[in-house]
Amino acid sequence: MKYFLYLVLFLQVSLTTASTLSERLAAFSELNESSGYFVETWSADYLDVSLVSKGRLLYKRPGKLSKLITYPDRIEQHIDGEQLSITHNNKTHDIQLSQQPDMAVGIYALQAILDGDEKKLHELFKPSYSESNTGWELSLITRDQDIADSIKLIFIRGKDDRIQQISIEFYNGDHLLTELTYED
Amino acid sequence: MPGIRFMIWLTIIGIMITYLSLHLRITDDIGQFMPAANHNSQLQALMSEVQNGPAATTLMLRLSGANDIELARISTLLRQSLILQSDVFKNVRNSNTSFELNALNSLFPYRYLLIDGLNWSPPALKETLEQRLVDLRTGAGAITSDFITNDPQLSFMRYLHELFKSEGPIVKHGVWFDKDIQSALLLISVNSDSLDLDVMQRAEDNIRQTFSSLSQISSVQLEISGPGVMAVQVRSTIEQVINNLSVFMIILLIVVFAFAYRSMYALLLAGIPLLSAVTVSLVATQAIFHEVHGIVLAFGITLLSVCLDYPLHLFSHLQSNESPSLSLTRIWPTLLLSGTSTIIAFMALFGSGFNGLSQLSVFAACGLTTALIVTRYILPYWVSPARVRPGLFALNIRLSPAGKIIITILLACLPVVIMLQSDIFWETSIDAISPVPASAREVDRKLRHDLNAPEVSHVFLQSDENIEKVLQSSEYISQQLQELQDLGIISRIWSPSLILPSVQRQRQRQQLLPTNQELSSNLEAALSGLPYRQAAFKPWLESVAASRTLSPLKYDDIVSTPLTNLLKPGLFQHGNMWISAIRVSDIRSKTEFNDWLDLHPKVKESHIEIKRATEHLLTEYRISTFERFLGIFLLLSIIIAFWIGSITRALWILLPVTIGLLSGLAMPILMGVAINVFHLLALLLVLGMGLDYSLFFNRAADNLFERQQHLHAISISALTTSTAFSVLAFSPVSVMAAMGQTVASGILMCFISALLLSSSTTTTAADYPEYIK
Repeated sequence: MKYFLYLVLFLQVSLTTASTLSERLAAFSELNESSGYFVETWSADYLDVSLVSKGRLLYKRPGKLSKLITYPDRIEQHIDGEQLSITHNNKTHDIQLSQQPDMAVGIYALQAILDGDEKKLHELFKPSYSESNTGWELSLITRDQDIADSIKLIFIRGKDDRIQQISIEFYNGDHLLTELTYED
Repeated sequence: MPGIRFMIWLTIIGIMITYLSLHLRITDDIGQFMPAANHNSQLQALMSEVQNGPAATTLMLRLSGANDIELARISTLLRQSLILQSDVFKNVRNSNTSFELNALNSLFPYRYLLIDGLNWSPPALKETLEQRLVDLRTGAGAITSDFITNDPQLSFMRYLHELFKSEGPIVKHGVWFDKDIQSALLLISVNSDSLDLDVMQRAEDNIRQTFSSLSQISSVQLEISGPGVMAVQVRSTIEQVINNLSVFMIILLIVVFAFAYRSMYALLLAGIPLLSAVTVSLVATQAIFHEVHGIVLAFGITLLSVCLDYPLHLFSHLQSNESPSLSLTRIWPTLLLSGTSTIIAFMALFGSGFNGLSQLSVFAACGLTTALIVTRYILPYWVSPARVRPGLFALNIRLSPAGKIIITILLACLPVVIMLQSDIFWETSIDAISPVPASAREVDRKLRHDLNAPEVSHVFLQSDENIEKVLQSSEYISQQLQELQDLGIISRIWSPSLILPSVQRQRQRQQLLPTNQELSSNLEAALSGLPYRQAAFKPWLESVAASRTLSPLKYDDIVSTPLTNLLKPGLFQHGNMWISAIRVSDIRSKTEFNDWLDLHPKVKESHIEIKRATEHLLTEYRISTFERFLGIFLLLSIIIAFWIGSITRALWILLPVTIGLLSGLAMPILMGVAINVFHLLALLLVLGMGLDYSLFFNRAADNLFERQQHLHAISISALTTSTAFSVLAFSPVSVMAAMGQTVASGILMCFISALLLSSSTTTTAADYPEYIK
C-alpha cells in the first residue's frame, strides 16, 4: 500500500492552475496517460543503510498502473482494476486486491486521484489540501481504522503541475520517501 | 359440601398458579423435537454443539441496496458501533483482519510451537531476509515490516493464514463483500455461552437499532440470519400461533355453547376442568423437565380441547329428573375407558427419544387425567341441570349389516387408495420438519455461502477423556486426509489441531529449534551483504531461545483469545469427553471420496456425513415410533376386547378408529405433504379421540333420548376438535401443521364412520353388553 501511493509522484501532468482539491482533481481527470521516474527510499531502525529503489512508473486511464523497478533488481508490478500482478525472478503471482486491503487502499487512492474521482478519494481518505507560493500539499489519512492504526500520515508535495515528493510515515518508525523526476 | 370442594379446588389451583408464576420457563429449542442420538454419543455431542455452541450464537449480516463504497462505509461504521457494545457482542467481523490483533498477542511467543516447516540454515535465512526486502519494495512492507526484527520468517502470520486462508469472502474497501460486490457482509458473535433466545433477540434488536441510526438517509438494507435469529423467528411465530389459537378457541367455544347448550353458564363450568388441566399439566411438565416447550404449549392447548369432551358428555347427558352425579355415573364407565385409552396412548410418548415429545406426553397425560377427575368428582356438584339446556337432535341412520360392510370398505379404501397412488409417503428430509420457513432457510443458506462459512456436512470425529489423545488422533487423521487434498478430491481440511497442536507435536517442534549459538551464527552468515543491522534482530534471537523452554500451549490459552470462536466448534467437551471434529470441504467427487475412505478403514471409522446420519436417525426414529404406535393400538384393542368381552363387538368399535387413523395419514399426502414422525405422533390423539367416539356411539342406549344425548355430546366434541386442529393444520410451523392435518381429518372421519357403523347396533338395548349399563 505504501508503495503505490508514491506512484502519484512521478506523473507528469499538465495541470491548469488550481486552488482547490476539486480543481486539482478535475485537472487530473483530463489525464489519459503519463509516465515518470522515481527514486524511493525506505528508512527504518532495522536497516543499516536505507533501502533505495529506482525505476519507472506508468499510468493509463482508467485505473491501469505499472511500476517497473530497475534497481537494485528487476521487479514488475501491474495493476488492472482489482488485479495486481508481481513478477520477480521470472515468477509471476497474482493478487486480488480485494483480498489484501492493506495493499489495496493505496492503489484505490492512487486510482481515485489519477482518475480525478474526488468522491472516491473522500470516501476512502480524509484529505487536506493547501497551496502556497512554493507549491501545493495534499495530506491523506485513511478512513479505514485498521489501516489508520499503522499509517500515520501520507503527505504529497508538488509545485505547479508536478508532484515532486511523497512522504509516508508509519507508526512503527518506518519512513518511505519517494521523489519524482520527469522526462522533460 | 360443594363449597368445601370449591375451596379445596381453588386453593390447589391457586398454589399451582403461584408456582407457575415463579418458575414457569417457556423454551423454543426445536432440537428438543429432534431425536437424541443416544447410540452415537459423538454425533449427539456434535449436534448439541451445533445447536448450542458458538455456531448457534453467530449472526450473519448482509448490507445491500447501495454502491460498494457506501456499503463499505456502513459496514465499517456498524462494526465500530457494535464492537463498543461488548456486553452484547463478543466479536464483530467484517474482514479477515477485523480481529483485534492485540488480543492475539498472548499467542505470539508460541509461534514456533504452532507451525512446521521452518528452515534455519544460513541460505534459507538469507533467502527469507532478502524476501523481506522485496516486500518493502513491492508494497507488502506495510504488512510485514512490523515482523522483520522479531519474526522474519513470518511464522505467526503463516499460522494465522493457515487458519483463515479459506475463511471469509472477498474483501473490498477493507470489508467483506459477496462475489458480485453487491452486498457487504458481517459476522457477529453474540456474547452468550449458549443459545439464549432472549439474548439473541436483544442482539438482533441492537443491531437493527444501530443500523437504522447509521443509515437514516441511506438506501442500504439490512438482512440478518443465523441459527439464533431463526430460533427467535420461530419463537415469535409459535407465540403468534398460540395467541391466535387461544382467541379462536374462545370464540369457537362461545359460539358452540351458545347454540348447543344455550348457556354461557355451561361454558364457565366447562372451563373448570380445562383450567385445572392446563394448570396441572404446566406444573407437572415444569416440575419434571424444568421447562415447557412452546410447541408443547400450543399443541397441548389444542389437545386439551379433548378435556372439554368430558364436561360436554356430562352436560349433554344431564336430565332434569336426576342429579348431575347420577347422570355422570351412567356414562362414567365409557368415559373412563375412553379417557384411560387416550391417556395410555399419550403416555407411550414418554421416553420416546424426543425430549419435546416426552414433555407432550406428560402434559397430555396429566391434563387428561385432571380433566377426567375434575369432571367426575367436582363438576357434578356445581352444575345445575336447569341452567344447561342441550339442544338435542336426532339422526335416524339405519344401515343393514351389508350396508355397514360396504360403508366400511369404502371409507377404509379411500385413504388407502390415496396413499397408494401417491409418489410420496415417508418424509426422509430433515428440512421438512424444520419449523423454520423455507424462505428463511434460503436466506441463511445464501448468506452462509457468501460468507464462505464452514460447512459441517462431512466431519471426522474423535473422542476421549484425555484432550491430548484427541488432539493426537486429530493430527493423525488430518495427516491421512492430506492425501485426499493432494489428490484434489477435497479442497480443504480443517482440524482443531491447526489452532491447538497436541503437546506432543509442540514438544517435537521445540526440539527442532536451533540453539542460540547456532541461530546467531546462521543469522550472521545470512546477513552478510544485506542492508540489515544485525543488532536489530536481538529480539528474534531471544524469542527463539525462549520458545525452546516454553510450556506447551493449552486449551485455555486459546479460549482466552478471539480464536476461541474458531476452536470451540471443532474441539469441545461433552460430559467428561473431549470431542474433536475435523471438517473437509468442497468434495469434488463423492465416489472417489468414499472409495478412498474404503481404503483407509481407520479414517473411515471416524467419518460422519451429518445430513445422512441425521436423516438416518430420523428414519430409525420414525420406524420406532410407528412400531410403538402399532403396539399401543394393539394394546388398546386387547384392553377394549377384554373389557367388552366380545371380539366382534370390539372389532366394530375399532373399525371407525382404524378408518380415522388411515384418513389421518391420507390427508397430509393428499395435501402433498409426506408423512413424518409428527404425523405419526398426532395419530395417537386420533386414536384416543376415535375410541372415545366409537365407544360412546356403540354404548348401549336405553332410549332414544339417551342416544340423542350421545350424539349431541360427540357431535360438539368432533366439531370443536376438528375445527381447532384444522386451524392448526395451516400453521406456519411445520410440526404444528403436521399434527393439525392428521388430527383434523382423522377425528372427522372417526366421527363419521363411528356414527354410520354404530347405527344398526344402537337400535336395541338388549344387543349391548353389560359393560355399558
